[in-house]
Amino acid sequence: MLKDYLHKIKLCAACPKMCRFACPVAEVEKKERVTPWGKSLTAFLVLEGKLSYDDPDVVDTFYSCCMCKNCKSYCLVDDVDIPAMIQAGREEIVAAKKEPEEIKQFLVHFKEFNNPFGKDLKTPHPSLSPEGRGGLSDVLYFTGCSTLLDKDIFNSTINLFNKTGQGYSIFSDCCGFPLWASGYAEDARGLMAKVKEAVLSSGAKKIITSCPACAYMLKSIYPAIGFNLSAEIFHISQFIEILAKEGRLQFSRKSDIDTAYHDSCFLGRYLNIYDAPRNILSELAFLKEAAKKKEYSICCGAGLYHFKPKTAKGITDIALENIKQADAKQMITACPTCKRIFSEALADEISVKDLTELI
Amino acid sequence: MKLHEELKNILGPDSVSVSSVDLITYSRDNLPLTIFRQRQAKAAYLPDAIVWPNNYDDVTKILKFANEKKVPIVPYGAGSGVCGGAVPLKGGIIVDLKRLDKIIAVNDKSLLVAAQAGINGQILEDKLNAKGYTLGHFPASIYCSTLGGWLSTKAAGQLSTRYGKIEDMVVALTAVLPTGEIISTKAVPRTSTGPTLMHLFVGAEGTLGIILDAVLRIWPLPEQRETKGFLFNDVKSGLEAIRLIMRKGLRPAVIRLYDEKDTALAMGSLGLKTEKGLLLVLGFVGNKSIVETESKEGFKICVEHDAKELGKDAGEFWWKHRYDISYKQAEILSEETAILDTIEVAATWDNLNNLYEGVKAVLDNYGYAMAHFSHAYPEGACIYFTILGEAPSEDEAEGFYKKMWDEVMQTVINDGGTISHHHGIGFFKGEWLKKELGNGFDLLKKIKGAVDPNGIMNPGKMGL
Repeated sequence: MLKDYLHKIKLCAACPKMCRFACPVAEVEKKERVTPWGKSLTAFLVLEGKLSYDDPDVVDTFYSCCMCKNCKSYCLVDDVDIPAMIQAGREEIVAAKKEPEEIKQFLVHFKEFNNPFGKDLKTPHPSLSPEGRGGLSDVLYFTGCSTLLDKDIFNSTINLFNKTGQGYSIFSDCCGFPLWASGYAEDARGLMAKVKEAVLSSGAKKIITSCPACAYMLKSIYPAIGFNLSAEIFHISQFIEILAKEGRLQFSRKSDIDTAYHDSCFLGRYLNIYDAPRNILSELAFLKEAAKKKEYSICCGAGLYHFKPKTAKGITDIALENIKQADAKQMITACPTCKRIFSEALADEISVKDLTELI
Repeated sequence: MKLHEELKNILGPDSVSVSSVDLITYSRDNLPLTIFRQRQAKAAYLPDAIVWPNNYDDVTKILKFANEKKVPIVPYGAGSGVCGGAVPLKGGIIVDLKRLDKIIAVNDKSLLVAAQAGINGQILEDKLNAKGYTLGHFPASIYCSTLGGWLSTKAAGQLSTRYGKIEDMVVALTAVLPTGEIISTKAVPRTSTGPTLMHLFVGAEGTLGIILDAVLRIWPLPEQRETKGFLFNDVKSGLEAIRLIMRKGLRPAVIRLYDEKDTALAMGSLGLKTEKGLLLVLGFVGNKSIVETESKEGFKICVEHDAKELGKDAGEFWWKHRYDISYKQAEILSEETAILDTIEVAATWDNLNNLYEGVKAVLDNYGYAMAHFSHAYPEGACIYFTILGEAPSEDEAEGFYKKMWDEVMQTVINDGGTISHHHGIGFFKGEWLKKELGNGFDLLKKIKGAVDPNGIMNPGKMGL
């Protein structure tokens, strides 16, 4: 509940807005209320009864966050956590049935195929089946939904498993992140319960994801709400490092193409995984770093495209400006969502690939 | 027609708001007095509307409209000012300039950048760094302030002794008058063409017009940095070392002497571990050979004044944590009766210690007072006091706070200092500005009356 964050909200609302320049939403919209400080002040006044969720701009303020956590990288104040506070506010807004129309439509859209993309993602991938591929294994490739949208990531990951003799099963439902982040906590819980049962019945001991948000959900949010998956969670970049260290994977010849790496918010700031993709990439290409990298990396804007596309596009542009400063010929991400957003924005200007596609 | 409807007709609906949450978030800046009200869930000063101009023409239209209707205009950057310069004291229209945030041009040959007023300080610096330059302006608020705010408050950054204050950096600017007329000054190194019109707007806190853009001096990124910490026994010997460093013609980037309490509490709270004494941070940046020569000379002067050398680690500690103290505000001012403020005054060397002792004696009655000396000049320096206190009750916080400021300002005026070195005046110090300027204030009023006869520009600020 929002009131659980009161102390931290008060701290943030008394700050001189030190993180404001790092908030991509504030930097695009230019309004004080969408700065992390403005969000905290709004939350404080909601808790004090001076503002309410009846006010559409109050609701808009809670939904004007892409949950990128970049504010945290510039915050030295007693563990203030804006995305967590925002999440609590969104859950209350949904409970009060005051969410914006776009968010309501998103839920309807999501429920059609149990993913945020409004289409059946499993059909184009006939290799997907409940019994898995590559023989029985305690390794579960948890594709989630966004990986299924990108055949290249999916295929290159499957090829990687096959090439290294890694047995695997596949699970391809959504992890629940889009519902959870939109404030639909109960709907998310329902979906997550089914995911939990499926994962437990698979007997998986290791779960590998291509999507950092899936990895974060499975590693942090599932246990936080009492869903223990009894398995270790790995992002594919971590697993590739393990395969290489065990000598099961030899990298192909190093390319001399100047390559920029984009740190995804969830892989980086949420999961603290910065080195694994860089270690792999440095074996495969000539790495050129952007000015803002690692914990200071700029969000691709994905979290806002279904609610505020204009703002989201502005955020994408800021992120691209940063990446372009590296003056690279290709951009590598380790997140299907970042890849999709940047590919669409860049067209053919710079090629955008997932880390697995280089192997 | 209502105000916001008229504004929407002029600017379009995406550039105007009168929603409660928008009005509240523009009802204060970083003046502690306004934070006291916020923590009681009260809005300090509500505006009637907020507008976000998309271009210069929008600003012109807003000012023409406001001038005709006699509606107050409050220019707004990022609201980090600590004197109430950006609060809508008399309601009216907040003109948030952050959509005007472009770098217009970088001139390598002449080392100049032209940028719009709404650009955030750190973003401007990052973009310059990416091209191999620095502006050299590093206020503690760099993350949360704008170029327009720096110019309007006549700001100074932490490395001002090396790179100058904002008035030393600005070469030209463009501003809109209350009539909507835009004036631009010429970007030349210097001009002997009468009083410098540009400086009418630098430090005017939006009382004469709105700054739209500026041309500023930039520098190649420094090749070398050499910084050490020293521990002095007392204020006098520390100040004497600084005075002699400046007298010798050295140009340190950072030269800051923290008094005993500031060393122990402020720097200590950031994690610096030292023996009892006064920390002096002395650093040089720039060309390698010049830095080596200057630092050798500067460090020698410190040692000659019985300072204990703490080495480069203490110097680098300062660089690493140089903005961190700003975060302490959140922890302190979120507490119901807490008082925290900074008071930055300046005086000549012959009067500096006297001013320090005088103000400190007043502040000691109100809480835990500490200070550091920074922004050194051959003729004097700034004293930056921090006061950490506690009001008898939440309701008495404002009275307690105002009384403290009254006594301090009177002491500064009595002791021959200036009431503000770089934070500006806002509405809060307006009455003391009259005392500081004497009959010069009458001239300021006449200028204001001539430029803004309807008094729409940021009314109530700077005593105007």
